[in-house]
Amino acid sequence: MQELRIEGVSKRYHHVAALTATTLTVAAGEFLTLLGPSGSGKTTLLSLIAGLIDSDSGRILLDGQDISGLPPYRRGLGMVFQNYALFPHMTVAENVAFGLQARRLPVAEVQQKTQLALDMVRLGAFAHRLPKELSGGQQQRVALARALAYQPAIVLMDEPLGALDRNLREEMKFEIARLHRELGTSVIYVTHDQEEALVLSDRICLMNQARVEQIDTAQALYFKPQTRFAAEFLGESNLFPCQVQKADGADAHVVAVDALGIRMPYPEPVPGSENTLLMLRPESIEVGTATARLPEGVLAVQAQIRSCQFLGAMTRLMVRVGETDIRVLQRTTSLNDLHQFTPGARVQLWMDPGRCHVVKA
Amino acid sequence: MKIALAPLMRNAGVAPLLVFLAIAFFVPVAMVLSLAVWSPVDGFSLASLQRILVTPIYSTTLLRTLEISLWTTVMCLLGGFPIALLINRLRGAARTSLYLLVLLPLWTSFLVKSFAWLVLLGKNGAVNALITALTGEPAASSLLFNLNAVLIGMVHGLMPFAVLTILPVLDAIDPRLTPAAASLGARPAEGFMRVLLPLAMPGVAAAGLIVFVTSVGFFIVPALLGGPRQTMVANVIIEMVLDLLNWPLASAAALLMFAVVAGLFALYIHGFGIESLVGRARVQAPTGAVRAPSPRRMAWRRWCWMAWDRVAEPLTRMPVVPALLRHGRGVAGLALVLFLALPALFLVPVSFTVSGIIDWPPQFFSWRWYAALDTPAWRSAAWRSLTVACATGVLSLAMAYPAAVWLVRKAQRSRVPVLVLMMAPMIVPRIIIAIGLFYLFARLGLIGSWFGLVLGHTVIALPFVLVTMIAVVQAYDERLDQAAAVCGAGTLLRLRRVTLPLLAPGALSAFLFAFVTSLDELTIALFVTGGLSSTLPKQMWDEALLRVSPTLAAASTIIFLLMSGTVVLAQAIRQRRGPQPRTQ
Repeated sequence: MQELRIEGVSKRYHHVAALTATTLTVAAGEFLTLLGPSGSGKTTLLSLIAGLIDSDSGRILLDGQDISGLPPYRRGLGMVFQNYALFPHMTVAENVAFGLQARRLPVAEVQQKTQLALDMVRLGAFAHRLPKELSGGQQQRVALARALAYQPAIVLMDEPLGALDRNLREEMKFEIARLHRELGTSVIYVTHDQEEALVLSDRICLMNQARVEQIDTAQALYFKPQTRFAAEFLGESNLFPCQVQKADGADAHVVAVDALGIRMPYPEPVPGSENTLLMLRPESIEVGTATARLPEGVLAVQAQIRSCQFLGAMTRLMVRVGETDIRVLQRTTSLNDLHQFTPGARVQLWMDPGRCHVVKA
Repeated sequence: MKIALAPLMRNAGVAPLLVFLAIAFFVPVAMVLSLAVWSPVDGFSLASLQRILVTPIYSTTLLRTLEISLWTTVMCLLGGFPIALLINRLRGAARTSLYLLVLLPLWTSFLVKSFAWLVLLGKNGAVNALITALTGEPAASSLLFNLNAVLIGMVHGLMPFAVLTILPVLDAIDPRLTPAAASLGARPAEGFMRVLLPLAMPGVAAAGLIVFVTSVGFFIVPALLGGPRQTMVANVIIEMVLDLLNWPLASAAALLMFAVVAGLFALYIHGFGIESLVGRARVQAPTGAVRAPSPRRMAWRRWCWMAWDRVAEPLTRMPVVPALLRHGRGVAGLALVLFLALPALFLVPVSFTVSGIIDWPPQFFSWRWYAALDTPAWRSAAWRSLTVACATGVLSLAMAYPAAVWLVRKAQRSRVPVLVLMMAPMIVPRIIIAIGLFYLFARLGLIGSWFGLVLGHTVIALPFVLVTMIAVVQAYDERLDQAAAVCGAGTLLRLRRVTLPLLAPGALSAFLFAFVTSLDELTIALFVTGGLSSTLPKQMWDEALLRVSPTLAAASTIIFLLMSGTVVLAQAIRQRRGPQPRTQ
């Protein structure tokens, strides 16, 4: 098991930064996802780790050894390419055996490990077909088997599910999770699909504009984003400009949101007192009913419903408080719930300070 | 009635081309080849074949032809592959300009290219001048009229074909396969030997085939740059037909040449399929259901691989291979510029010399050799060449377009055999087509006629035009036409506003290639023109046999500029406006 450490690695193309100096560590056996919009530098970072492109600065350390000067074939990593890059002139078995043969293993061992890898992805019966004779999902499995056959400590995956249709993607997602669990390999996985990132990752490295925005677990990234970009990229969020004031007590603050006309206590550390935003997820806001009592500590704000979309289990509301539009996601439990959401109706929004979060603008 | 007409209508597009090829290609070639074993007087007889094979002067010529062709092929592949690889790896302006550097010598007339070597390798030529300047000693003798000169001329003439046949195959290889091999731990030499080279093999084999087949029928370079000991079969055939009127012997030589070529072609088709010869304009097989491979094919594949690995493995361990891979680009680029592109340019200064012979450095400055071209013979030849070239372009385009549409959109099972038939003129050595047409036209009274020349040149140009048009039709997205129809555009409006504007650039570049092919053509012209009805290349050839003077340099310079202009124009049209191939 090996730890991968990236120290101040950067890459420029002419005058465009493909990756600004980046530092991060991937623990042995960890599943780290590089998530971000296209052009955010995630594939650049992956290619730098693989050695497919040379970095302008920084070091890449594998178990303390600097590998940044090594060509890709000496780094001992595995990689699953976007659209797989299977060798079209080799059969499935030959593709999978390629990495083993490059390591000059004895013929018997090559055969045995090839078989093992093929069984692992349940393609034993297809060993003698050419890639073009396989379906997209099967090609995907071959690519996985080829990268895993020689048991690399780290496997890089570049949008491996991008070319598959939705159902297959679902299935392969669990397949990849299972392989990671069973083999204990570290995986660095590039995707722009949030759901894939949430399901698979131990940690997510959120990237934006050629730099790392935030590295955290999926839960932390969702509930405690540090920046506006993080708050908006993962899930939906309402963001309101706010002022943070120091209150009595060690870490206690008061957050004032002028747009909503509310002030609330905020017990956690804040990212700074200037240029801050209050984040409230649509599902964290409740629409108060006339009969229920306002729970203690929860703030109530008067609002007017502008539109209402019935989505089945949930109902999406657009409500307005003063001059500010707010998105609200409400569970639909009965037909009566829907009646009170007619556009124009006046309602009370309940906001729990415990569910609010302050981010950098 | 309707039912009977339907299949006729569906296949109407391919009919004109096939009928034309039957009349102007298959019948004359078959006729002339049959003369080798059959004559109206003696009936069936193997005597001519036997005479060719046992008479030492003929059999050594045959063997020498094969030997020169083989060496030419080997050197064209060894030199052409790195150049193709270099262009394949480049992007943008660098790629375009290097591509042009290959395209220009490709379309430079073989005559012009051979004249250039006369200037370079002659007793008073540029190479000797350079040697003298470096060593201080006067050069001993001419470097011409020997095997080396012939090989240099042939490799120079044919290497562009090798490059342009290999390049599309390299371009079609997924560029991530090499990094993928490296990510799996394969050293560059290993990745090259086990991934890139096997995948490029169809292109390399096709290039080898085309170069070999062209060399076997070559006569210009051996006649101009070689001595008596470099006479090749085509030279002998020309002599037999034009001077000795010995048809049975000429046909026997042609038949042997044809047998070698046909055998190689059959081998190639068996190994790689016809489609790889069409290069980028691949006519895609319908991607059907997933099918299991046959055990026999599997066994064959495994055997090939094992054999290849045996060879490749020690090669990858040779210390020279990584160095080659590392410095290959620079060497290839330098070779490309120095060897392929530069020689023809030496003719330009020579055409302005005052001196009466071709020597180096030229003594400036005089227009006299251009003035010498202003005679009725040269003028009528130029006029004839231009009109024939235009007519050839129009005629071949008119037949190739419907055929391409048929091949891409309508053909089903008959696609591959029809494609083989249509590409056949590219494979049969030109000299055989030429004597076939000579034989046929003599009976029809077409010798010396403008029309006969157009027919002959169209046969030669058709495969090139067809390949281009297949690519054009393939790149044309039929849904654009449907979209226009949905918007309410009628047939004419769609044709005028959508179909034609999209097809026109490709069609124009196909036309220009036919134009250049015809303008450059000597073999057919050698037989089909007669008396005063010469073409430019024929006029130059006659002049060259008579006396090598700077007139030829002047004529070459004009032709070179004309052709280069056309090629650059065609390429510019293709790149700027042509429909982009759809990404898969």
